Parts: sequence; C-alpha cells; structure tokens
Amino acid sequence: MPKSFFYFEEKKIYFEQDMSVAAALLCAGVADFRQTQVLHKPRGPFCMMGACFDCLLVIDGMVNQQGCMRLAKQGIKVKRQTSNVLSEIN
Amino acid sequence: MRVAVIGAGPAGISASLALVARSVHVTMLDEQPSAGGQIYRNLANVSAEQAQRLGSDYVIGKSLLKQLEQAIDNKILTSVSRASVWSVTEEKEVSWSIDGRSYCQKFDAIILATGSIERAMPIDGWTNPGVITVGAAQILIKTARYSPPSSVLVGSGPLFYLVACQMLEMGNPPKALLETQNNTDLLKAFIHLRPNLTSLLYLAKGLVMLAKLRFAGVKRIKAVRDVRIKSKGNAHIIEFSKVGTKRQIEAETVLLHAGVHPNIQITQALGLKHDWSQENHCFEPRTDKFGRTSLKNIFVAGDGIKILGADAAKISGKCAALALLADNGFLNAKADLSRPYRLHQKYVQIRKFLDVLYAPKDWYSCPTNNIVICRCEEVTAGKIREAVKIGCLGPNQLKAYSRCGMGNCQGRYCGNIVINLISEMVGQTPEETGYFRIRSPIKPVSLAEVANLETII
Repeated sequence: MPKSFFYFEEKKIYFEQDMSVAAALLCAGVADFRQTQVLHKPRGPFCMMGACFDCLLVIDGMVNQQGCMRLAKQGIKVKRQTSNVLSEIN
Repeated sequence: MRVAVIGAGPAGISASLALVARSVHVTMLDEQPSAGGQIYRNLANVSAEQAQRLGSDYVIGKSLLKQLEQAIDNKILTSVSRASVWSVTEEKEVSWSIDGRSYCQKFDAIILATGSIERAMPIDGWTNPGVITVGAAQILIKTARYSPPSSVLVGSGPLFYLVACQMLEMGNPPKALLETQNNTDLLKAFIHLRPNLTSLLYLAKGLVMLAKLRFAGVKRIKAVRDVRIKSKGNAHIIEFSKVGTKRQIEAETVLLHAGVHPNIQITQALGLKHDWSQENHCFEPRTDKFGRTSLKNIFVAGDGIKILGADAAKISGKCAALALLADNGFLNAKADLSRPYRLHQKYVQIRKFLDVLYAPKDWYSCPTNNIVICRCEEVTAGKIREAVKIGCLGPNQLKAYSRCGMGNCQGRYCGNIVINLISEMVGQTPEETGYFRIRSPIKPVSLAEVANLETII
C-alpha cells in the first residue's frame, strides 16, 4: 500500500495511521515548527499532549494549529509559523 | 440523569463504567483521538506485539477499554473523542471544541478526570527545538512507534525509568540518563517507606527496570545539577556538573522530566478551593475522600486530585461515581463506600517514598535570572524577580507586570515556578502566594466558534 504523505513547506512528509502532524514531522527529523512571537526564536513540540502550545503550525492556511492534536491527513499543506508567514496571512 | 465525565484515562473510564452499571447515561469527553488517557494512549490501535513491548502496565488497560467498548455498543455511554473542553461552569454547562466547531451541553453532574501534566524543568535551553518532555517521547513511542534516536534523559521519577526501558524495548536505548536525585535523597526516602504489599510490588517493578537498564549498558549518571543545553539544529550539547566538576554529553534529542502534578485548569476555573501539597510541591483541588468538591454534583477523580498513579486512579474514579450515585439516590442510603476508599489508600505509602526520592531540586525549580520561565511569553526568572522587587504582590499582578502566564498555555507550565520565585523573594508560603486566577476558555478558541456555539439538548 502506498504510504500517505502531507506537505511541509515544499517537502513530502510520509506518515502512518494514528500519527499526529507533530509526530510525523519529528519522525522526519523536523523539530523547528515556528518562531516565537516575542523573541522570534525557533520553537518546536514540547509536551505532545495538547498542553504547552509550543507545536503551533499553519495547516491549510489556518494559523495556530496544534501539531500534536491534529491527526496527519493525506495531502494537507503544513507550514512553519514564522513571523513572515503570520504577517502574510494577516 | 445526565452525567459528563471529562477525561478518558483510567479514572474517567472506571468512573463512567461504574455509572453505566447503574444505568446512568454518561457522556465522556476526551481530547485525544482514542480513549485511554496518556497511560493507555493508542492502546486500542497498536498491535499486540507492540503493546507487549511497552510492558504489562500498558497491556492491562485492554480490559478497561473492552468494557468501555461494550458500554458504547449498548448506547448507554457516549464517547466523544478529540473534544477540547474549554469551559465548565458551576451550573454544569460544559463547552468543548472539535475541529473548529464548539458545542455546549448542560448536565446534572460532572466528574472531572483530567489527570496530570509534567512538572516544568526550566533550565538553560529547555525551549530549544528537540528538547521535549519524557512524556512526549512516550507519546511518540505509543502513537508513532518512534523512539527518538541518540536521546539523553534529564531528571528523575518513575516515568523517567519506564520510558528509558520502553526505548530499550524499541531497540533504541537512550544514550545516557542524567539523574537529578542523589544518595541523600534515597536515604531520606527509605526513612519514609512504610512497606505494604502494594509498595513492595511497586519497588520490585522499579528494581527490575533498573536491572534492565544496567544489563543493557545504559549509562546512568546520578546527582547531576546545573544542566544547560546548547543546541545547533538537531545537535545538542548538554553541560552539567556532578560533585563540582563540569562535564558534557552530546545528544540528538533531550528528554526532560521532573515528575507530574495534577492538571488543575478546570478545577481552578470553577473557583474551587485548592491546597498546596508539601509532598508534591503543587496545588491540589480540595475534595472529600470520595472526590466530592464544594460544588454539589461536581466531582474530581484520579491524578487530577493527587498523583497516585493509574491503578489508584481507577479506584478513585469508581469512588467518585459511587459518591455521585449515592448523592442522587441511585444507591441505598446504607451503601458502603469505604471499601474502594480503603483500596485506594494502599497506594499512598509508596507515593511518600517517591515524593521524597524524586523531589524537585531548587537549582531548576527556583532558577537563575537568565532562565526563561514562561515559555509562551518568554519571561525570564530575572524579569519576575524584578517585578517582585518593585512591588508585584502575586501571580495575578505579575501578569500585568510581565505577561507571564498570559500566553496560550495559560500558566500550565510556568505556574508552579512563579509560585516558587515569588514565595522565595517575599518570604511567604506557596499557599500565601496563591495561583493564577484561571478563567474560561481554558483552551484558546476563536470568537467565531463561540458565536456559533451549538447547544446540545
């Protein structure tokens, strides 16, 4: 069976059933999910259970999506939540 | 009568099962894709082989999940997954969000079984990508069969060794364990040990885990302190000191763990009274021994009251359900609730031992000025101390001074550290310092969602 994938920036990220977007990205070696709002530093998943809000991503154009709480789905478009991306959307 | 149970971990499931056994309809709300809580996370979906690999304490959850499945099939229980509860009111109205839509329903009674969260371990570099909690690593193992390679674990506690062993079973042993407890802690802990059968079995389990790690040649370095993480992409250098000498180790992932404490967002938002636990260094909601709160027909169960682990949480869930049934005339007045309570008490002894052995250390729970405390608003310990110096009286005023605790996580991770810092500077007890005033929505929710709130009757 062909593996499912979603897009992270331009890259294809393959995932298996029951994986969250954050888990799939970490498996692919991506730990830097966003820029922090105050100091613009890189930040990635921390608690993986929906409590810390550090894994925020832009998913299909929606900002502030918790990567660890969203199940990975075929073909979704995921982006780093950087200051540039945020100002483009706003 | 309609009851909402919030949280589908061991406490929530066993509470629900005790209620449906008396033909009381339950709506169980949980944030994750499948029931089980963090301890039985994804257990319904993993292969038998994988479950076995993760140990008997994981596999044992199968029977609970099976009973839950039956109750769902019999339509006496409605299980709502991926539901982030963002408001619970005194009037017992519960609001939750699923996929950008929010729903509200009024219930006759509520059992809060929201479990625990990991204690913050604010050290230099703890906000770097690739530095995650030990619990997060376990979630990766359970949901993605992914054990982060070349990991170094920093901290202490039962979960610390369990996850190290699970990584071992996944064929990917951790590179090293940097343990924060020392021999004096061990000695003090043994003084607190009043062995009963439950605690001896628990100790035996721990010794087996340590033996496994030793046999596999996993390096354990004890009594480490002043840990700093310097990261460059996915490469981390962990600097630490041990008896005065500085050492360092490299890792691809750093896993932190400083124990767990109750997740009190909902009980705080309800304005319930909380007491500071000297043993576990955190606030715990005040309940009677069955989980009754000061609000009629609102109960708390499991690790959400006090950290005693999954087995105790199951009994605690049942206690709360029985109390609920008794209070509402579903049990005869002479019903004996004391037996499950006595069972529950068996788990208190070993906890005292663990609380002393793995007590949080001052060097990270009251850290130096350069350390970021509030991960969301990026407020350092120095800024918090400065605020106190110019007259900030407590955690709530600190928000106005610094925005500490006002980000997305709403103080879940910085709360306890803020209490430590303020209490130390002012020279008062944590109880006197108090906690952030938590208000709904306890999870960020868009205005559009609130405007389109769908009421379920």
